Amino acid sequence: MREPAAGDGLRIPPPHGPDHGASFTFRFDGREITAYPGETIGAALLAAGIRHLRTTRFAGAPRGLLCGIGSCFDCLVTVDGRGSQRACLTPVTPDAEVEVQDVPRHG
Amino acid sequence: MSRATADPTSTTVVVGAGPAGMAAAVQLAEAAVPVTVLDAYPASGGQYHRVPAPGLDRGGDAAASGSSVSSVSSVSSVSSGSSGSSGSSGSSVPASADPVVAAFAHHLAARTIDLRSATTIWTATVEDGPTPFVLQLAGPGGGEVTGAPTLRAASVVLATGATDRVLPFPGSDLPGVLTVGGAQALLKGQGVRAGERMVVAGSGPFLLPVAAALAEVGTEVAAVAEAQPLATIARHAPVGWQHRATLVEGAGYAARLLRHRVPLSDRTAVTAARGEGRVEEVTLSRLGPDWTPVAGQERHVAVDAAAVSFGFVPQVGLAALLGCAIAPDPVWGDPAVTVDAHQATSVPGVFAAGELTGVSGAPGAAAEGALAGLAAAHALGAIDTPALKERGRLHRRERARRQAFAAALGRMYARQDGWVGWLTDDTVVCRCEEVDHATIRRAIVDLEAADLRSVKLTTRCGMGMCQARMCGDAVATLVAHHRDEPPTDLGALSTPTVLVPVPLRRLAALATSQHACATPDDQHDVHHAPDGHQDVPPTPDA
Repeated sequence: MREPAAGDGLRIPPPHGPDHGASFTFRFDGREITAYPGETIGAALLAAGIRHLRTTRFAGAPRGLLCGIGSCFDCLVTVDGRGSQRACLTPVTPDAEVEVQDVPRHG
Repeated sequence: MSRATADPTSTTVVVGAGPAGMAAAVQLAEAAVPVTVLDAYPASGGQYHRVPAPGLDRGGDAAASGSSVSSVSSVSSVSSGSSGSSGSSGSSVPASADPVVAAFAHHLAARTIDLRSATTIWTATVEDGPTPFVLQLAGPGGGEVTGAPTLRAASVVLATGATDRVLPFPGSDLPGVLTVGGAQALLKGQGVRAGERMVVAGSGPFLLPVAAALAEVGTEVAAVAEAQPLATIARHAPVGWQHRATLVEGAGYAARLLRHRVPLSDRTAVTAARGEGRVEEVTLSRLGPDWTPVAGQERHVAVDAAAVSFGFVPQVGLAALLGCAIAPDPVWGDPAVTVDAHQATSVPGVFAAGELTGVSGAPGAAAEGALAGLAAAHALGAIDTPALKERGRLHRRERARRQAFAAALGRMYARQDGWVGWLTDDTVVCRCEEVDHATIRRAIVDLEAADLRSVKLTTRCGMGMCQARMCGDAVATLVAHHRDEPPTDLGALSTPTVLVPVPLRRLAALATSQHACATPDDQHDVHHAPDGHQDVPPTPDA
């Protein structure tokens, strides 16, 4: 079995993958993460090796991307203080503060 | 900046911009009917024609702007920008040789189709008058839309598609376990592989192209596991020249897997996943013909992701909200929107096309979409009956051919209920409300819940954010299985009034602006405010 590649390993390089624009960073639970224009939060975190996006409110179980198309609401994260954003659909923006969603957020 | 439609009383709204929705919109535009297309995603095309997200592929954008196809994406972004689509900078349709995609792009450029991307309907009502359908719109994350938040339509074409069928197994809620469609969306829409070493499992012809695509971009696909016995698949494979191209396509995927040395097993399923915080290992079990795991025939495979789906489930939520009749479709048995030969639903003025009427694949969906668009145009008096017959001729033939093929697929991949045998008591069935198998079994066996609504009321199953889209099919099987009855029409696990979570203040605004649609009983469907203004945790209905 191959060792999982670090960093950009899961991003597909051209010609099969996209020719990315200039990278930027955002933060996930305080950690600096690299992303590219057009990426969703879920894709950028996956490429950084992060699959745990949400912690359930009863069992405290980790959850991540499931349907990838906005139907399952399992990949909810908090973005710049806004709770319950779907990581699979939400485009990542430079300097965004993204957090694991561990309880339903109250405003 | 919202463009006023020429004649609002005759506006037709198409919901969904996949193969069916695009084909419907093209026919309406060609009949000179003002048409607005609502699409949940920033780039139209649906799951089948999915392209890299807007702004992701610099090379693609650059190449496009210099070539003839690119007029497609550049022009469409102009067009959707002017129509007030909610803020997506590069709304685009795929550059494609597909004639429907090309015609759709042409009409966007000519502004004869009004596309509102990244826009969903969060609730809808039917009133009296010339524009009876009142659609309430939300942007990404349940937020505001930039254009008008309410759309009134004389007629509606529903093309809301399908989602992957999710069947639970122990550990299936671990991060890294995702649907096959999810793995494909990451690949095609984001240029990201779901994992370095994966298994692709479940049932249905969709496993092969996704496994092949993953292998071709460097993922080690340790196994493709098809639950159905190969003998069953072969026995029901359609014969006849008219299906040859589709069969050759399937053989092509198998050859690509062979080239990448991807082992393909039938009568095999992922029956468990384990890992600390994410999936690290899956169990592949040998199955009997009814998908019951055979004891002692397991092997364990180290993975960092697993893509598991069992075909597709029609997305009927909006159709149900509009009052359309829904019944088990004859091929797959899933709740699907009932339509007549003109793709008309039971509600006058509402048409439906594509997977929500029964899953038959993208080309069939496009044919149904064209027929729905023609019928809607005819109902509005925009084309006469001879034109309806003539323009629909080829599409009717294509629809018949694709539905015949889908019927064969339904026999080849007929799903079995032996998968219940791989559940443990603590296997999570309803992911949103964290309801396990033992709780659901108790409701069915001890509390005698005989239909889906009763299961929901006793267990909270299906009351969460996804509104039973992920667990509804599994729970229906569990009811039939534990009651030892053949599957019947068990009703719906969820009949939502609110289709996607929105802030409570939007409901409140609606209630004051029109004597509207929210009753206190609906509140359990508004789970929490995505923008954090106020939360309504789910509460039991009764």
